[in-house]
Amino acid sequence: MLYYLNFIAFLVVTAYALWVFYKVIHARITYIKLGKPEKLEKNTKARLKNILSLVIGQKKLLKDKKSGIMHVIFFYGAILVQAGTIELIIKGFVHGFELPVPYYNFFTLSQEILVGLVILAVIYATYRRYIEKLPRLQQTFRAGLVYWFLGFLMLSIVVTGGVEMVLFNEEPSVYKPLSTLFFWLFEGVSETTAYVIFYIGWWSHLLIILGYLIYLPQHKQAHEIFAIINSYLKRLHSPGKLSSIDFEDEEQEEFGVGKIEDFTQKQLIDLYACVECGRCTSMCPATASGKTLSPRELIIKLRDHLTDKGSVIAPNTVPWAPGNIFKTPRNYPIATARQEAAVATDGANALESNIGAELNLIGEVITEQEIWACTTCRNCEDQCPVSNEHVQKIIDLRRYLVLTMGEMRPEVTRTFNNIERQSNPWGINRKERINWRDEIEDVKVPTVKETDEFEYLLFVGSMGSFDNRSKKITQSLVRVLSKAGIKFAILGNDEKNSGDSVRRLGNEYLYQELAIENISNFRKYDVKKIITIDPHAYNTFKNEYPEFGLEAEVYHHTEILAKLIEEGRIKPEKEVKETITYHDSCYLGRYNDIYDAPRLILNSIPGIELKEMERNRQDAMCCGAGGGMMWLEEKEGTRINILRTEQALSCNPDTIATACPYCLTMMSDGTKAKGVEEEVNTLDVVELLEKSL
Amino acid sequence: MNILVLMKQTFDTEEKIVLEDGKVSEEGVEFIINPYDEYAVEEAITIKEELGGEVTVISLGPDRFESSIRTALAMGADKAILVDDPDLFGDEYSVAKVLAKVIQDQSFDLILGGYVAVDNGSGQVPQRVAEILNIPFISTAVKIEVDNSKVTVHRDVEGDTEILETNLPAIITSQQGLNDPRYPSLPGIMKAKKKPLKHLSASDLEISPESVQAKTEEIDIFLPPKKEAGRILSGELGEQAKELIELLHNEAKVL
Repeated sequence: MLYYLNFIAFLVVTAYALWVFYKVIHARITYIKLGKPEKLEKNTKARLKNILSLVIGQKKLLKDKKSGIMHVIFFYGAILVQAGTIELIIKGFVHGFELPVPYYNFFTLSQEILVGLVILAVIYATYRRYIEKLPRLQQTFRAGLVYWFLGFLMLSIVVTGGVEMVLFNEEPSVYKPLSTLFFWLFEGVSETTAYVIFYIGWWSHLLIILGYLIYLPQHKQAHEIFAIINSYLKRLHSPGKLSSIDFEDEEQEEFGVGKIEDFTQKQLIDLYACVECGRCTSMCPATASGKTLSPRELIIKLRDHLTDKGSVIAPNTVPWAPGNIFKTPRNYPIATARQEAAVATDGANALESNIGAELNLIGEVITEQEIWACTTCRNCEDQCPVSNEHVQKIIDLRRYLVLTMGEMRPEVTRTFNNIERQSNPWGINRKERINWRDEIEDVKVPTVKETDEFEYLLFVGSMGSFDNRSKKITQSLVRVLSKAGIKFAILGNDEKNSGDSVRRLGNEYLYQELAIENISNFRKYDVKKIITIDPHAYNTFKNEYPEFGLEAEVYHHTEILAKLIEEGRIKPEKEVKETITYHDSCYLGRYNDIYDAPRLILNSIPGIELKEMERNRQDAMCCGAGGGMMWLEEKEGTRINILRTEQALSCNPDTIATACPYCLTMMSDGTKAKGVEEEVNTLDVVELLEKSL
Repeated sequence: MNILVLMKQTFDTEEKIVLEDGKVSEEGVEFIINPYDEYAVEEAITIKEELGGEVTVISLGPDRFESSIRTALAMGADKAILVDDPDLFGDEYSVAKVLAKVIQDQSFDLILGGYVAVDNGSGQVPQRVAEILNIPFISTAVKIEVDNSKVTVHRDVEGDTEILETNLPAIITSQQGLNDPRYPSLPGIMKAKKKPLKHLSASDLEISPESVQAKTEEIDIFLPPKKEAGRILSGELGEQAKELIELLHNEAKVL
C-alpha cells in the first residue's frame, strides 16, 4: 500500500515539476521570440568548435583560475552525478537497485568522489562569495541559493547511501567513503527507523532536484540552458564588425533599438544566458572610473525588463511559478503594477487600466548616462563566459537616440557636424588635411595624384593629419618607411574621416556615407594595400568596410614595421636605454589580436627593457578614448585615462609606449595630470623605433 | 504661438575666403545655416514644442539656401519661405524691406533671428525689420521666456546680463549660449523633404525692385594683410620696455 502511495506521489510531484518547468521555460522562449529574427552565418563546424572550447573546455571560465576550477567541478560534477541520481530514484522503488555497470565498486567510488568534490566546491564558492567577498560577486542570499540546492543534493546522496548500508548490513567500504561516514552515524537504528531515514533522504533528493528544475529557468541558473545555446549561436565574424542598417529600405521609420523587442532574438538570448558573475563589470573602465554604467547591470536590467514587459504583452505566458515566489517585484514594475491594478479593479479592466505602465527602454530602464559611458573596449565581452555581446547593444541604443530621436549631447552634435562639413572632428578646414607633410623636409610624401608607383596607401587619418602631437607619429612613420625603401602615397585632401567614431557614436547614416566615399577613392586610385597608424581606422577598414565594397589589404603600421624588422630591411642599431611599458590599444588588441607586433618592435630595439603592466594584452584596460568618447567630455566619476596612466606608472617606466594616436593623447594627458610629463615620456612605437635607426 | 525665424545661409566658419575677379569665390565651399540663426531656429522649435503653434523659416538669397532651409525643416520647423529673386538682392536696407513685406502677410507672435551673420557681420537686418514693422526689438538673447503675451529676455551685454521684458509680438535676436542646436534625426530629414517651401519673387510680393535698391555701394573687396609672425623682445626689462614703446610709436604707429 505504502509502496503504491509512494509511487503515485512520485509521479504526481514529478509531473507537476515538469509542467512548471515547461511553462516557465516556454515563457522565456516566447519573450526571446518577441525580438527580431536575425540571419546567422552558417558554419556548423565553427559553431561546434565554440561549444567544444567554451562549454566542454570552459575556456573563458578558466581565465579566472580559482573560480574556473570551481566551476569545472560544478559543471562536470553535476552532469556525472546524474548517474547516481537515477540509481537513487530507482532505489526508492526497487530496494538495493544497482546500475548495471562494470566494476560497480569503482562506479560508487567515483560517484562518492564527485559528491565530495562538489561539496568542497560549494564550500569554496560560499567562501568566495560571502567571506572573501569577491567584489564582482553579489552577496545576497538569493545569489547563493544554488549552493544550498547543490549542497543538500549531495548530502542526500550520501545520507541515503549510508542508511542503505545499515539496511543491507553492509560493511564499511573504501569504495563508499562518504556513505560510510553516515553508516557509522546510523549504525544500530531499527529497520523501521532506517527506512524512515532512507525515505526522508530519498524524498529530499527528489524534491531538491525537482525544485531546482523549477527554479533554474526563473533565475540566473537559466544560464545552464541559455549559455550553451549562446555559445553555439555567438557571432562568428570579427568582433570589430558592427551590424549595419539598410537605408534603402524605405519602410523603416525607426532606427536602432528604442524598445526591448527591437533587439534581435540572439541579443535577447544573451540576457537569459547571463549568470551575473560580474567578470564584465570587474574589467569595465567605465565602472572602474565611477560611471553609472556596469555591463552586468545593463544585461540584468534588460533581462528583467524583457521578462516584465514580455509577461504583459504575451499575457498567456507564466514567467513565475509556483505563484511569485521567485519574483522580486522591484525588478518587474510593469507586471507588478498590472497585478496591483488587477486586484484594485477586480481584474476586469486590468489590461486597459495599465497600458500607461510601460517603461521607456531608454531613460527609464537604461539611462542615457549609461549609454554614453561605454568606450566600446570589449573587455566585458572578452571576459564573458557565456559569450554575451554587450557593445552592439550599446551601439543599437545610441543609434536610436541619434538617428531616430536626434537626442545627443552637444559635443556629439558638434562632432557629427564637423565631420559632416570638414571630415574631421574639430571642423578644421578640410583643405588643411595635407598640411602635415609640409612640416617635414627630408622625406617626399606624394599623393596618389602625384605618383602611380606606390605599394601602400598611407591612410593618415584625422588624428594623424590634424592633431599636432599625432602628426609627429605620421611624420616619424613616413621617415622610417622611406628609409626602408617602401613606396607609399597618400590621398591628401581627398582623404575623408574613417567614420569609426561616427559609427560608434551611433550615426550609422553618416558612417556609411564616409565609408562609401573613402572606398570609391581607394578604387579610383587602384589601392591594393592600406597602412594606417590609427587602430580605429584599421579596424573599420579591415572588418567593416568590406561590407561596403572594400577589397584592399589593410595593415596597421606596427604589423608592417615588425615585418620589415624580421626581414632585416630595418635594423634598429642605436641603443635606447629606457624602461618601457607598452599600453595595448583595444582596437588593435582585443579587436584584432595584434599583441605581438608592437612588442616585437620594442624588443628589437637595443637597450630597451620592456615591463608589462598588470593588465596587459587581452586584459589591458582602455585609455578611455574609444567608441567616440575621445570627443565627449568625461564629467562623471574620475577620468579613465588617469587610472590607466597610474597603472602604467606603477611599472616605473621612462616611457609609456602606445600604438594608437588616441591612446597616446590619453596617456600623455594622463602624465600631465599626474605632473610627471617631464620624467615620463609618451611615445608611439614607431617614434621609439626611429630613435634607434 | 506662431514663430517666424529670419535665417541666412553662410560659409562654414572654417572656410578660407578666396577672391576671384574681385569677388568672394564660392567654389567648393561648405555652406551652413548662419550659426546665430541656428540658435534662433532651435529656440523657435523648443518654444513651439512647449506651447504649440508653427515655426516658419524666412530667407532671402539664392537657390543654394534651400539646403540650409531643409536642415531647419529637418530640425523641426514646419514650413519655409525663400525669396530667391535676384532682383531683390541688395544690402541690409533691401533685405529688411523685402523681409518685412514677407512678414506682413504672415500671422505671428514672435520673430527670432541671429544677432549677426558670420559672413558680412553687419548685424542690422532684424532691427531694421522691427523698425519697419514697428514692433519691439531685443538683441543678443541668451535666455528667452515666453509668458502669454509677454516675453522676458536675458541679453548678453559684453559679459554681463541685462533682463528685459516686452510685449509680443517682438523681434529677438540670439547670442551664443542661448541653446545647443539639435542634430536632425533621420525621420526628421525625411519629413523635411515633404514640408512646404514657398519660393517668392518680386511680382509675388508686389514689390518693385527699384523700391528696395541698395543704399550702399560696394567699391572694392580685399583680404586683410597677412598676419606676420610675432616678435619676442629680449634683454633687460627696462630696455625691452623702451624698445616696445619705440616700436609701438614708429612701426605700429599706435602711440
